[in-house]
Amino acid sequence: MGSIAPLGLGLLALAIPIIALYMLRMRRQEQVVSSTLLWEQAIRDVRANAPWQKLQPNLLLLLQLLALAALVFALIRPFWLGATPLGANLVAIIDVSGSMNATDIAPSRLTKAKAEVQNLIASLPANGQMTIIAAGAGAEVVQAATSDRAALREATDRLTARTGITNFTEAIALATPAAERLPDTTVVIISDGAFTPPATNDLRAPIRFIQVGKESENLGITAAATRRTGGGAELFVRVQNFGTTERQTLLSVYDGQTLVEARALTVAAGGEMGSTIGLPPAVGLLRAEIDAADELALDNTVWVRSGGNKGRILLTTAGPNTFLERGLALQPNVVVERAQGGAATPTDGGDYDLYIFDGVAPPKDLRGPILLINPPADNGLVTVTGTIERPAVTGQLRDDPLMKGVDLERIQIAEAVAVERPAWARVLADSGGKPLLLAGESDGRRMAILTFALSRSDLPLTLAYPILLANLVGWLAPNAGSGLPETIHPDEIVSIAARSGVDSMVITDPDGRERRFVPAHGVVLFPNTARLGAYTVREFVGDREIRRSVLTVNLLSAAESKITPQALQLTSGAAAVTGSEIPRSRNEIWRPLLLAALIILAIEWWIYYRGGARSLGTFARDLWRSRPRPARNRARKRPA
Amino acid sequence: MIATARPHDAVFDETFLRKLERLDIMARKLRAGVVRGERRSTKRGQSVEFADYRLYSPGDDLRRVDWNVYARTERAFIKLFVEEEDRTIHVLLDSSPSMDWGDGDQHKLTWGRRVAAALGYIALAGLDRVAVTVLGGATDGRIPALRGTKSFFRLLDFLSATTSPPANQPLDLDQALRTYASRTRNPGPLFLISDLLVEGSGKLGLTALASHGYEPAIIHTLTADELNPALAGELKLVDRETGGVRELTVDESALSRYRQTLTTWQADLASHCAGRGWPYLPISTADPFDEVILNTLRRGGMVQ
Repeated sequence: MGSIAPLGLGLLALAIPIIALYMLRMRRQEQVVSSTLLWEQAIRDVRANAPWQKLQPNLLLLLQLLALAALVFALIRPFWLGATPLGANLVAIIDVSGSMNATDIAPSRLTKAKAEVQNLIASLPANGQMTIIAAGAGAEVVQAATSDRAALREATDRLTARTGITNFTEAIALATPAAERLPDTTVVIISDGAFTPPATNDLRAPIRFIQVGKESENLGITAAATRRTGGGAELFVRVQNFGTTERQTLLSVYDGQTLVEARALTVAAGGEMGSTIGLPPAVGLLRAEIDAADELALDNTVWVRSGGNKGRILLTTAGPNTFLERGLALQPNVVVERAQGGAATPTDGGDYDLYIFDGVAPPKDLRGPILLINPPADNGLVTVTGTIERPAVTGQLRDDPLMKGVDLERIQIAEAVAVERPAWARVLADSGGKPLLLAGESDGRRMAILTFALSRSDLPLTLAYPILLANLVGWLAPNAGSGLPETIHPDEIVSIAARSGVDSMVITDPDGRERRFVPAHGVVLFPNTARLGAYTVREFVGDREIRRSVLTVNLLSAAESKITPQALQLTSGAAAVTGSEIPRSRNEIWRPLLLAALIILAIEWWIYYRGGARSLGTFARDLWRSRPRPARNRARKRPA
Repeated sequence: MIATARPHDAVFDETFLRKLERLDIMARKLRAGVVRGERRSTKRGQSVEFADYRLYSPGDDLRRVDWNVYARTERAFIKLFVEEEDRTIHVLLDSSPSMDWGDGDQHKLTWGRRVAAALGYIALAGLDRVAVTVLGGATDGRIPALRGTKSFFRLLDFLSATTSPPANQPLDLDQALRTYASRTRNPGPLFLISDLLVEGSGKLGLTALASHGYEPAIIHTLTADELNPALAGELKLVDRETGGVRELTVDESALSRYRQTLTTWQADLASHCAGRGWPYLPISTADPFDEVILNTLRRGGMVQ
């Protein structure tokens, strides 16, 4: 027990004048009467003694002394002090990451952490200043150094649990200058310890670690990815058990609302279980769930975009074409799939961003963009008139964007197919008027035709080849490859590169809320990624949507999922972290004391109003009688 | 008639004088049953009304021997007649500091002066002599006995000049009454206008007056706030007369006790006076003046 302002006890001396006033009875009002003769006869037993009287037990005096005592004790601000007082100034780093949502401490770890911060605020010395830093995916100073307790409390109340990981490096970076600004500063970290501390730091101030959380069970998905296989795709999911007992769970994978697969898993204590699930072709957004009723719900669901955000190219060749496959493999943001059975099915039309046919005629009803290499006769796109032996490139449309960085002049071609230029096409390269490379747009569909087999020329060996291929793929399949990361952690700021010409971007979050952005320098920075789930990114030129891609936000962090409290592995320049000892705060009680004083004063006023100053006995008697009193100055009938 | 006779001060203002004028008419009615201008005296003296005989003794006036009786009985008898004389009405007005109390028309001393004036007027109109004395006043307290209605204005002047002494100069009422009894001759009806707020209520002084042949009548004057005080709270009561201080807490029970004490006190005085045949009339200065003079005083046996 201590007091912040012990000198205030001196104010108890005010009791002396109060008692003296009661003894003096100075409050009597002087009243001249014609004679006191009758009064003397009437009031013999109530006569007051003057000027000093023996102090009699008086209810009002008692109440006034009580009120004074309560006021004085409120003023000296008594408190119960914990074991170790913290420094004069504090920097509090409060963890607001996903693991702080754990409910092992009802209602949540964050609530408990906020209560700890409130205790720290209460324990601040009179002039002590405190800085509050929230450490989530990014660190934020929610309250700069101040001694204003109300502001500190308000800032603490505003804190909400996020869904992301803990970026502790940034938090320490913010805390370092804040701790150095003021002398005798202690850095207090309030966290469950579920984060990776920075390898090095420049912190000189002593660190204290207040750990929230207790031993608890958690089962979480810590990895999920899809990959293409020969016949389709498969999903890999890793489920980790961070608890101390073996757990069984059901892993369910959905494509939209359709259940794709459900699988029972048994995960040993502290162990992990990987699971590979074959996917049917052409699945879109996948959701994998485990039915774990544990303390942390954030890591029980992940969203995965099948194939990520890469453009999908269906390659149909007459035979193996190593050059083409290698050339396409060099292209970023595209996934090449080989058509099953060597032929593209018309139903694949909507699913691929580009169809490449090498020596094979495309199906008649195919609607996607097409790159046709070495067109066979009766291919449906151009009319084949014959072959050209050893054509030399004599003309190139050098200004065309497709020919940017491409020089075909020196390539050697053994044999090319002679074709007639269709009306929709422009000739990018020709040999004496016979087209070698054509490109154009027909009915909104982009098409390009290379009239010679790659294996019948040295084009794949030249520098121009990958550039030409990139130009062709880029032009033919503009929607492919937005470059979005496959998944991000919550609260990460994602940079989305817009295609050229895009003048607005609409991002729909998992709750269906749409946000419209205008790209600045071709980039949109999207910060509102707190919600876990799939975000749809649509790019518009005017009113026309030119690309749609999906961004998924998942916790996918073993560090956050491991909610079992951990010791903090962090040292500062001054001292090692003082274990996980929780410093007790000063619990001030001036508020109830002040309230008590006010209540006592109110009672005192009421008693005075009701019956005036009387002894305890008289008051009790009057209360007992409890009869309504007539108004004091009301005229009465004179006695006869 | 009176109202327009001369200017008057605050005590005997025009309203009062008009009331007195009405009283004049009432007074005439009162006198109608009484022999005009005469009172039978207890003394035997010279008049036409025979009273008694007594034996002659040397020194008696021979002219008053009843020779007819002598002729029959051969003994000399002196014929005695009722001596007719105008009697003296005594009005004693208590002017102690406690009488200097009350507001406006309800001021006790003002009230007392008015009652004294009214009594004086009635007496003068009845051809009696009036001796008014102010007890304990700051000014000279006596006026020679007056006679005739023409003297009424002298009475008014005298009463107007009456003031209360400053506070804290208590009057010993008993002593004042005793002194009056021993000093004055012509004892007769005596009206004491007082609040009797002294130790013993002046009973000893009244007894002394009675023993000297006076017929005291007590007009016990109190103000409304003395009869029913409007006090409350923590008070330091200062006695206007003695300067004495009493600190007390006035609450409902204290007020109740005060009223009871007052009632007991007045009842005691009434019984004391009744036992001695003295009219006792408790009045409040809040009562209507005319009512008091014309009815209450009459009911109390103070005027005929």
